[in-house]
Amino acid sequence: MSISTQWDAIVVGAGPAGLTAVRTLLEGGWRVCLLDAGERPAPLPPRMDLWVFRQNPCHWRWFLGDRLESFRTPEQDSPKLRTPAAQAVLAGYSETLGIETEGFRVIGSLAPGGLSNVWGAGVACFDGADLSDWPVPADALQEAYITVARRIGVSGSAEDDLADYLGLRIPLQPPLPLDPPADVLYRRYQQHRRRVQAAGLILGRSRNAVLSEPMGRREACTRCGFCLYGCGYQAIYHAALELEDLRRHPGLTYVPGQWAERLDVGLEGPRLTTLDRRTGERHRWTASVILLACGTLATTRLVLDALGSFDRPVRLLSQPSMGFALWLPKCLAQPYLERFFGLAQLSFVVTSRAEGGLPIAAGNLFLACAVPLWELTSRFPGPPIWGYRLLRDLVPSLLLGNALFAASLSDHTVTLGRDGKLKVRGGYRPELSQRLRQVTRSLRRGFRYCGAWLLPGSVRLVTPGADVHYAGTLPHRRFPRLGETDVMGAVVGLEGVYAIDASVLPSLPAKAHTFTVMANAHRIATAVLQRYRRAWVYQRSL
Amino acid sequence: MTDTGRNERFLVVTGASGYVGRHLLDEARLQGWQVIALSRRPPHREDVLHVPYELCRPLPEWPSKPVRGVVHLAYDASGVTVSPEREVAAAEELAVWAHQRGVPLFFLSSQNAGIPTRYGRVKERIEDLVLRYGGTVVRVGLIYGGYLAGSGLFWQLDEWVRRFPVIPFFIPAPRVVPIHVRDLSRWLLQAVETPGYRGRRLFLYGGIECSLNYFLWHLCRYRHRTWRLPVPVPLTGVRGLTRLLIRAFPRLSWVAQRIDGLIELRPVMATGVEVLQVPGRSPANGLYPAGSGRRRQWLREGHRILRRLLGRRAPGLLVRHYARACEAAEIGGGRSLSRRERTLLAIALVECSPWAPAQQVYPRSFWSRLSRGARLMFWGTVAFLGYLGSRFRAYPPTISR
Repeated sequence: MSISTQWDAIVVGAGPAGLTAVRTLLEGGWRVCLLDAGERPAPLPPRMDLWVFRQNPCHWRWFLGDRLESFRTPEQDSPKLRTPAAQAVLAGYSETLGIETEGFRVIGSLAPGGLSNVWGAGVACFDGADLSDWPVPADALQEAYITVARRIGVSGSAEDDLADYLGLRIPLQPPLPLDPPADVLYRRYQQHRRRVQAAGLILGRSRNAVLSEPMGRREACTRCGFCLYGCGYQAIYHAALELEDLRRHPGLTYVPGQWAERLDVGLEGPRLTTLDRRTGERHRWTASVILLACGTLATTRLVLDALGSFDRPVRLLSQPSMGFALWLPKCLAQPYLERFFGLAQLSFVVTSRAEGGLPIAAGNLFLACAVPLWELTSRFPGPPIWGYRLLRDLVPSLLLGNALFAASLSDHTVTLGRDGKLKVRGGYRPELSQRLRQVTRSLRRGFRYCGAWLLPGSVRLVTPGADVHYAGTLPHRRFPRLGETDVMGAVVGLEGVYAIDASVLPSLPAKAHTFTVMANAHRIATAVLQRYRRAWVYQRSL
Repeated sequence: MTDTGRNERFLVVTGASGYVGRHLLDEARLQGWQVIALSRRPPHREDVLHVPYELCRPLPEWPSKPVRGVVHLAYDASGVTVSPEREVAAAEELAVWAHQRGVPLFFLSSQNAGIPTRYGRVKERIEDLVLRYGGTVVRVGLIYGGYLAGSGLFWQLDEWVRRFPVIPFFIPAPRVVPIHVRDLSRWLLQAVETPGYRGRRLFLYGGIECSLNYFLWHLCRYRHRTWRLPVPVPLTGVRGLTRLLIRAFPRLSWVAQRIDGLIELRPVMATGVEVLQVPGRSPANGLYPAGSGRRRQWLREGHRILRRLLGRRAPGLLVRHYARACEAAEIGGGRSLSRRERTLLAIALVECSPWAPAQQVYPRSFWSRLSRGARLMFWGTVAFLGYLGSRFRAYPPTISR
């Protein structure tokens, strides 16, 4: 057991939020120690086109895993989470954290970069309506959005119907070109915009944390098609990429393989005990400030344990999500694409006319050819060979979609037991059933006007937790109580401890939240810098 | 034989150059045992200590080693070279040697021990003797598989099947309990180090009991990859013929006894011996020279599935990758894939190959498009019907809580 006090701040977790805060603190002149449970970064795909790489039959091991890991996970999971690379990123999370679940699927990562290794790179800003429950002014977050967008690089169109919904004022690189099925759909939408919007559907170009122009060492997207497995050209942002840059900074001490076990507050400030995953030794770390960014569930466990809040359920936010498939008859008998972009090409919002045009769900559309054919076939109701025979001709004219609902339609709780186990109980609210029908109806009618058919039987609600958007266990409050956080993310009852990951989000609208989590981490880190700078100036004046 | 270290384990095996002996030696060396091989002929391996041994001579001396177990396999296969008394006396010498040193003795007996033939009577006498000295009697059914050596029953059956264009189809068929020679060797080595088997008479049951006809048919199909005409043979006739043979040609009585041993096989449960289930394999697997037909099974299945997917004969490369992938799933005790998963695996393999739909260039002629359209309509209808069938259990999604 060793005690170290040579840093101004300790950041726990090298995910998107942790690294955003680390960068902000380093730029403020602080000495920062970054503790991370991960050791090895996720493997990256080769720098070549997918269709060329696939011509070698020996490469099945790369796509399916040496031990066919892709076949081991349940069918409901996203295809992105079933790839061997994703399996390596997600391995051992629940076991290490000691999680017991009921009606909830926990997905987390211990790898450097965290879940950003497998994210869909969707970018959306929370607007005034989304922030109505937050004690944070919208302007404070807006500045953070701009800073983060400049750093990670976001491509997309600022002049479409979703500009208001996804956020207007962030700097954008030009959008990537649309591939044929998405292009056909979008053209039809533009022709019949009024009728489609009357059906409650608004369509626009996606904003993605993907480069369409080179930025530093990162190259622009080559549309190689490997997006599901990562990006060999590093056009898709993920936090591990930033870690390589930050490690060269003299103010940063990066300690991998440290699993944060316990947190407590002593006379000399907050103390963190970690377990070295390689040697099994325990280390104790102290600093004036500890920023927790180890993911919603891990942060919640640390805080509840430090506060002694056992056997008390805490609300967990997670967005219900659904998947569906669209068929464009106009693209039938088209050849397979050799080069394409595999992440979201188009985004949509479903609004409710009865509620004054309020958005009730939002989602993205992807090319079906970006997903392995066997994945599509596995969802076919019937013998796989029939599914294969149908889908091999249908895939070039198929689009896959997902849609997120507001987290207020979910009803999940987290409880820390006295045995140290984190029990996650999941479920959806009964209203979701009606919402799902409403959204399905709008999608069916709206896309029909765009010349696309919603395939019968393709609409599926995913298991609670499979959306991987967990938040809200230690929410920001204007007047926080024990176990909540103030506007700066300071945990009440634990002086010097700040939560900066998704656990502090007070609400989760129907939008991808990763970009907001990064912006919020930047905002908190900036506020922490200012608060302690003032304190130190005052101390020196004495 | 290499020089011994302090922690090395020694095993004494009699009859080490025989069929079971050879396989036991191989398995023992594989598991790190040092073996003292007692046999007439030198054993097939050079990394064991050979001590010349004949049943008709007294037990020889060998260098003092920390012996952990004795496995007695030697017997007079011809039935005429050594007298029954001498065979029993030789077993007694070995049992006394093991008893005095507190070493566990395992005697490999037969399903036919106790039947009224010379073979059955000798085996039963040795069994009683071994039990008296605290040894373990291991009865087995038909030992098969591996490579051929010695002149055991399996060797004899193999010869018949190989040489003659017909195989007997006994009516009624005697029942056999086949056990693969490698499974037997593994169990023996594991049992030598396990306390609790002393003074017990066990029957090793590999999980399968089948008719002799079924076994012979599998022998043709899987080991020799050939076809033999089954000829109905009434069992009573064979029995009478062997009696005549023994009376007329006493010197050929061993042949008659071998036939007797086959047709007089008693049902295991009727022997009243404690039955011990051991990990085994089916004859279809065990009769392959490799000892497992699993890869062949994957290859056959891969061929079938890939042919259906591609609509033509599947390339050998893809079929081999299919078999390797199926094996990869089971490495290290992993869960084997279900039938549906294996079909999906075949689709994944086709997709990652030059034969994938994404790699094909379809002609844009009218007829090509028409045929594809018709195909799509047909499979679309099938899919829609499939969806209607599954609708009641999968849709609408249930909302918990």
